[in-house]
Amino acid sequence: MTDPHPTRRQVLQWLAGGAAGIGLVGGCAVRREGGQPEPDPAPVAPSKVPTHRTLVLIELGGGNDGLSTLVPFEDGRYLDARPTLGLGPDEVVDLGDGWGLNHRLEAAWATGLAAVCGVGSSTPDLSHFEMLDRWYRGTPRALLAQPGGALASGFLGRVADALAQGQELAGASLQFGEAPILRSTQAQTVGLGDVAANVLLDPEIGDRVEDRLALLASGARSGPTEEARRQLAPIGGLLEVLRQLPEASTAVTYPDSDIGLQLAAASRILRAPSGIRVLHVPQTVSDYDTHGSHRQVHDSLFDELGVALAAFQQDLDHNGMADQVLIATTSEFGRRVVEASGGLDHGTSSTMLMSGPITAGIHGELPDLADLDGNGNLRSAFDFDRYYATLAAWLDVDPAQVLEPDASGTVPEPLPGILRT
Amino acid sequence: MLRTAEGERAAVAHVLRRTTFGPFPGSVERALDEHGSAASLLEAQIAAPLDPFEAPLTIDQPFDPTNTAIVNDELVEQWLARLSSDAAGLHDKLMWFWHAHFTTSFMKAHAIYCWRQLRSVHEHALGNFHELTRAIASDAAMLQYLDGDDTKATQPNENLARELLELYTTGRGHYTEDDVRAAARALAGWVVSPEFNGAERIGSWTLAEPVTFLGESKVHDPDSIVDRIMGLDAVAPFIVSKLARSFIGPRVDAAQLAAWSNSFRSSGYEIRPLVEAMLRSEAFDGARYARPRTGIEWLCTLRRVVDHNRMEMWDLIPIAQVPYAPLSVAGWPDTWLSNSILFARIAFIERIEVSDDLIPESGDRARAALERCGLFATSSETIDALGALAERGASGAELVRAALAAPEFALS
Repeated sequence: MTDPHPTRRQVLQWLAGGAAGIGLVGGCAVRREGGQPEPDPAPVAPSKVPTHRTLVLIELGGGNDGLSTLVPFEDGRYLDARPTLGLGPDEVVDLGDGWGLNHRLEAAWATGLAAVCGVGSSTPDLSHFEMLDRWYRGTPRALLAQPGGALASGFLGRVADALAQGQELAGASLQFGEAPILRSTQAQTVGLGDVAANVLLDPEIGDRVEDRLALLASGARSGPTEEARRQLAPIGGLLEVLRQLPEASTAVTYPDSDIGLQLAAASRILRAPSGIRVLHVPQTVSDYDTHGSHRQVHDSLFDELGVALAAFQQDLDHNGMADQVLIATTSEFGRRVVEASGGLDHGTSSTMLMSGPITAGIHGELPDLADLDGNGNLRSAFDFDRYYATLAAWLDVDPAQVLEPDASGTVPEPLPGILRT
Repeated sequence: MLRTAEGERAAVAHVLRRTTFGPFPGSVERALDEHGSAASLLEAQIAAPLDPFEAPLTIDQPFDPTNTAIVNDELVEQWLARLSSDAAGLHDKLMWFWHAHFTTSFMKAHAIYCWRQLRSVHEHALGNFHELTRAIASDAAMLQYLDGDDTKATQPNENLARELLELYTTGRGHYTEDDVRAAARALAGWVVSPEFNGAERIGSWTLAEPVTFLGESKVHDPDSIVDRIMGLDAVAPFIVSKLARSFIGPRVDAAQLAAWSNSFRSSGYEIRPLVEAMLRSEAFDGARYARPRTGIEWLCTLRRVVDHNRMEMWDLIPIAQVPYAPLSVAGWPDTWLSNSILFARIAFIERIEVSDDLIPESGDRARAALERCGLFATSSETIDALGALAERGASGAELVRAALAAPEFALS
C-alpha cells in the first residue's frame, strides 16, 4: 500500500495555487458552510493591500557561504583559499572595489537587493544546533545547555506578540512541524505545513477538526491544559486564511522550485485577509550545508533563490505592496574560508540579503580575509541581534521589547542606512 | 494522603503515565484493585522484576538483505507491541529513554544492528550509565549511524566524537575542538561487518600513540575516552536534568537537581537508585500533567484505546515517535504541544477507524469515554464538552475521538 499523504512538494504546489494532482484544482477547496462542498471557488475579493508592514523571513538553513554571496573575486587570498570553488569575474555582478554579487542572484539584483555583510556572532559556535537555537531565540550569545528543553520564545514569536491585534493570526511559517522561531507567548502563530497537508488530503478535515476544537479548546486558559488550549486556538484562524486565499498571481510566473512555490504561497497568504505580520519561509530541506559538492549545490540553490526572489518582488510591486513587505534572509552561519575536498566546513560570519523597502547595494562591513579567527573563520562585524533590531524597527517594534540587552545592558541597535524609512 | 475515590484514580493514572506507556483501558481500575493505592502501585512498579529481552523471530532467523523495509517495519512493530502491552513497566520506560537519548536511526544503521543495540540498552537501562555509554560507544549500529564505521585514526570522522560529548554525556561548553579531534582519533579503527558479525577493531587503524583528551594524556581507545568523560563533573547534571524532565517535568527545583546529581556522580552513575529517588520524591507526586505526553506515550495509549494492532508508520512520523527513526541526531524535540502537531494528531484521530462498541450504550457515556482514555479528574471544560456530546446522542466512536482530542490526553 502506498503512502496516501501528499508529499511536501504537493502541499507547496497546492499552497502556491497550482494543481496538486490530488483532485483539487485551482483555488482552495477548504470546506465550510453546513458541510456542503463549495464549487471551485471564484477568487476572493482580490489583492488586499496590507495597511500594516509585514516581514517575510527566508531561512537559508545549513549555513549559507557569505563569500559565495558577496564575492571578493579579485582578492588573492580568496583565490588562494578557493582554487576550485571560487567564483570568477564572469560569475559575479561587479559592484566595484573587487567585490561582486553572485551572478545567479542577478534577477533579484535587478528588482532591488541589499547585501548585509559581517553578520554573525562575536562568540561563534560551529554547531548547527547551537547557532540555530541562538538565531531562533534571537540572542547571539551562548545559550545555557538545556538538554531536551524547549526555547521559551522565538524572535518572530516575540515580534508577533508585540504586533498582534486581538485574536487574529499574527504569524505563520511554511514549516512542517513547529517553527521554534515563531514560538510566541500570547500571539497566535502557527506552522502551516501539517495543517495544509491534512487539508489537502481531506478537504473536510478542517471542518471536523474545528468542530472538535470548538468543543475542547475553548474555556478557561488556566491550569495544566492552558498551553495545549492556547496552542490550538490559532487553528481556526489559519483554516479561515486557507479558505480565503486569493488566486495565484497572474502578473508573474513563479519558478517550480521549492523556494519558488513557497514564495508563490507567501504571495497568496499576504494578499489574503488576515492579521499575519510575520511570515517564516524555511529552506531547511534545500540544504546549504555544503560539506561536499559546494559549487554544484550552492549554484543550484542560488539559481533558484535569485529567480524566485525576483518573481516575488515583482509580484509585490504589481500588487502595490512593495513598500509594505520587507524580505530578509537568515542563515545560522557562513562557511570556512579555505575549501576542503570540494566542500566547505562550518564557518561564522555571513552575508544576509534583503529586498523590498531597502536601499540597494552593499551594507554592513565587508569581510576581512586577512583577519581570521583561530579556526580559519571570518570575524563577524555585527552580532546578528543588530540585524534583527533592524527588522523589528522597520515593523515599528521597539528592539528592546523583543531582543535581550547584552551584559552591559545595551539593547542592540538597528544597522543604519539599509531601510528606506 | 487522603483522597477521594476519583482523586485516587487520578493519582494511579499519574503513576501509570510515568511508569508505563498507558494507562490503558481498565488498567487504572485493575491497579487500584490489586494495590489499593497509588503509593502502593508506585512501589510495585519500582520493585517489578526485569523481563528477559526477547528477540523477535523474524530478526534472528537467516536474513534476506533485500527485505530491509520489512525488517524495519517488524522491528518497529514488535517493540511498539511490547510497549503497548500490560507487561511494559519501568524498565521499558528506561529502555525507551536511553534509546531516545543515544539516537540511532535505521535509515542509516542496519535494523539488525539496531535490534542488537536494543539488547545492550535492555541490559543497562536500570543499571549503570558509565557501562551503558561504553557499550554504546562501541556499538555497531551507533558506529554505522555516526560514521564511526570504516574510520582510521589517521583520518577520523568527527561525528561520533562530537555527538558523544555534545548530545550524549556532557552537553556543550565542557570540551574544546581539540578534544573533539582527539576523541575522534581514539574512537576510530572500527569496521562493521556487512554480514552482521558485529564491529571489529582493526589494529593498524587505531591510534599508534595515546592522545591528550580533556587534559588527560593516556587516552587511546573508546573505553578510555568514555572513562575520561565520566570523570567530568558536567556529566551528572546533564543526565539528571534530562531524566528529571522525563519522570517529573520541566520545573524541578535547582537544589533538588543538584542533590540528585551529586548522588548520581558519587554512586558511579547507578541509574536505578536515581530513578527510584525521583519517583518517590514530592516533586513527582505534584507533577500531574506537568509535561507533554511524548509521541511514543501518546501512540501506545492511543493504540489500546482504539484497539488497533498495527498503525501505518507514515501517519505516525509527524505526530508520534517511531523507534529508530529520530527526526535528527538530536532526537525528537520537545514540541509535542505545538499547534502543528496537535492539529495533525486530531486530524489523525478523525481519520482512523474507531468502533462504537468501545464504550457502553447507556450510563455515563462521557465518563466512560474519558476513562477509556485513562482520563480521571479532568478539567470541567473537558467534562462539559464530552457531556454535551453525549447529551446530543453522539456515537461511541465520536465520544472516544473527542476524549482522545482532549487537551488532557496530550499531557502526562
